[in-house]
Amino acid sequence: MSGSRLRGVAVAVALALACGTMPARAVEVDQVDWAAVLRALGIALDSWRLSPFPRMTPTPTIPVPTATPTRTHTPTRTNTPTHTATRTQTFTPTRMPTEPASGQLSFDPSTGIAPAQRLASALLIFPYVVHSGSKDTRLTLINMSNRNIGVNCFFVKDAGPVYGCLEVGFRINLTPLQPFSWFAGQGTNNPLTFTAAPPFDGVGELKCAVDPDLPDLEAHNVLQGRATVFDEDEGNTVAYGAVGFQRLSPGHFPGVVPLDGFTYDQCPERLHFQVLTRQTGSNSSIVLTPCQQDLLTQVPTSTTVQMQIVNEFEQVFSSATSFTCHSVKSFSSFSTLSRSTLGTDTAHLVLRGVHSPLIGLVIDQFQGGPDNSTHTAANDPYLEGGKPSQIIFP
Amino acid sequence: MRAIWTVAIASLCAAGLATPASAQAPAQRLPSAIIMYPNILADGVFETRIEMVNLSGRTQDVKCHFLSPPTCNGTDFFIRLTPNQPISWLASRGTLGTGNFFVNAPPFNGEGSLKCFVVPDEHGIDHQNAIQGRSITFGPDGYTESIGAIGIQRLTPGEFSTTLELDGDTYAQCPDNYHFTFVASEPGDPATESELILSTCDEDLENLISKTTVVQFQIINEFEQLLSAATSVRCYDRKVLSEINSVFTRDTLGTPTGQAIVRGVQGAVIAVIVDKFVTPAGAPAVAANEPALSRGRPARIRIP
Repeated sequence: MSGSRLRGVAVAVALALACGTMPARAVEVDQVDWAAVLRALGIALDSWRLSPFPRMTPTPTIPVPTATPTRTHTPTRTNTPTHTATRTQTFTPTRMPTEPASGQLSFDPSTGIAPAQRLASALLIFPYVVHSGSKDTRLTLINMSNRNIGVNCFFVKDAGPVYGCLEVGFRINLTPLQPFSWFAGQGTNNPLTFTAAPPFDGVGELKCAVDPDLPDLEAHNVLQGRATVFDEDEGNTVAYGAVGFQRLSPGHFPGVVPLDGFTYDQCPERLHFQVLTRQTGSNSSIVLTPCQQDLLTQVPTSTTVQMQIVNEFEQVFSSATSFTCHSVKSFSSFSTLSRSTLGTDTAHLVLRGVHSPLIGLVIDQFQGGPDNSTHTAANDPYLEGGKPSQIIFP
Repeated sequence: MRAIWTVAIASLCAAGLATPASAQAPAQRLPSAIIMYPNILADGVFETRIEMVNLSGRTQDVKCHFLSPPTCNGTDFFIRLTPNQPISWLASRGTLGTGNFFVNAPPFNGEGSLKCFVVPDEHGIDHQNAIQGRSITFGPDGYTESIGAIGIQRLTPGEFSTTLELDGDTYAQCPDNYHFTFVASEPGDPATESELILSTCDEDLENLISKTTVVQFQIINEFEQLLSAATSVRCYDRKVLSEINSVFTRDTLGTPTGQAIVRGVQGAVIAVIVDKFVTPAGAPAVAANEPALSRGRPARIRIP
């Protein structure tokens, strides 16, 4: 717009304003009363200055919403409800506590979510069940719900290179809150409680999965158990809680148990133990069993096991082994678990299955007490990360 | 309009805040921010090896408190764990650290419980859920109790406070119900006489206030018959099951094993059973009996 046209418009606006605000008396005058026009303009400008519009613009109380502390909070809060609703999502932040890459362990950072333990579960794995020589095992299951449940169980043992992995399957029915226990070497058949389990022989592991009538989560996550291995003559014991896996989404028992982090909890990716190093009078053992198992076609799982050992001075050692089906190995098989190599009384042992995630247990054996007697105890692992796996029941 | 949206967003946030904390039992065997050792025993005959391990790749500062009856006053100490470091010491001897001058634990004599808290240098959850531990109590004739510490995880990031809210929002709640399968007590030589170890989850170590809580038991035998019993605990106690009530005996229970559901009334408790039984060949045997957990219960721990 040119300067002259702008001036013209300004004059026209001024005249219009003047007409609107001038007293009627002035209209009768032929000539333009410029004093009146200017006064009118002044009034108009004053009125604009006083009007609320100019204030409105700076006011934008908009900064208040812009600061949106609310926005920032929202995701944080989301954590809480998620907890209750979707277990899978919920525990994601909680269950990935460490950043292994920042430490001195050379394993890749763990990604999945480890299964929460000692809670009512849908699948239990007892890694160490023995009936051999003077050793026997008291197995215990409890129904933690107020409903009847069916439980499918399989005992699997490594019967050597000729026979491979042998399994014995059975089914138990538990009434509401019923405790059920039996000796592995004897089995049980109780006509009063309508429960039966066959006797086992050898050294192996036991898996039990809940087969509920309803597809609800509450119908799946109802079972817990423990095992006490004891020496009948010496009285030494190894007592531990079964490793539990919770069902995460509703559905019927499929026979194929996907430990994928959606249907059921994943298998732990790493097992952490604090162990007593091997020295005179102390020689512990490692018990291992694979998470991955095909009981239907009886294809045994073999896996390599990578080990990292951190002593009390934070020095790292490593070792490896492999096994099929089930394994019990003495610390004497690994020079890296001896005190003479590590230099400290205890060590932090981290185990990772390469071809299949693992379930495991360390059996502490040491000498001590006023009579320097031999002691045994179960050493349950701490779990880190998760890795998908699958168990196929017949 | 903008104001309406602001109000709406604020309401949503308020609704989020008002969501009740989850009443879930704390997940176990995972790296935790608080660990509670239910039983430490060192009396000249029995000794306890206390183990603690840093499961993270960071240095962790840990504050610990021994609590023992009858005073229920705490004895506290600090430990600094380097990345992935395991430490252990005998309770009666304490430790001055081996190559690590920041591992100093005083000797402890008597019986009680031990609570340890991660004091993080940063606010993230990763920095707080980092430790785990267990205690091994041993004595003559091969007597051994190996008990894993109860772990409580931090759930939301934030500064460490000396008032620890185990409310299901800041930290996981304490367990509410403990489910044990126990071996019923039977007379004999040796007798089958299991013991129950109890301690309280709530602690006010700043004001040295120790509350007594009643503990209720529901006992279910193998025929699904229900019985009950009760006792009480102040900070720590260890009792023979058959001395709490005859329902723990085989004569009353009617079956060799039972399920005991243990619950604190005025506040949450920590519970573990020590099985003492006789093998079929007649040898005495001992084993710790760690429970399955169900439901959670808020608790508060105040430390100086």
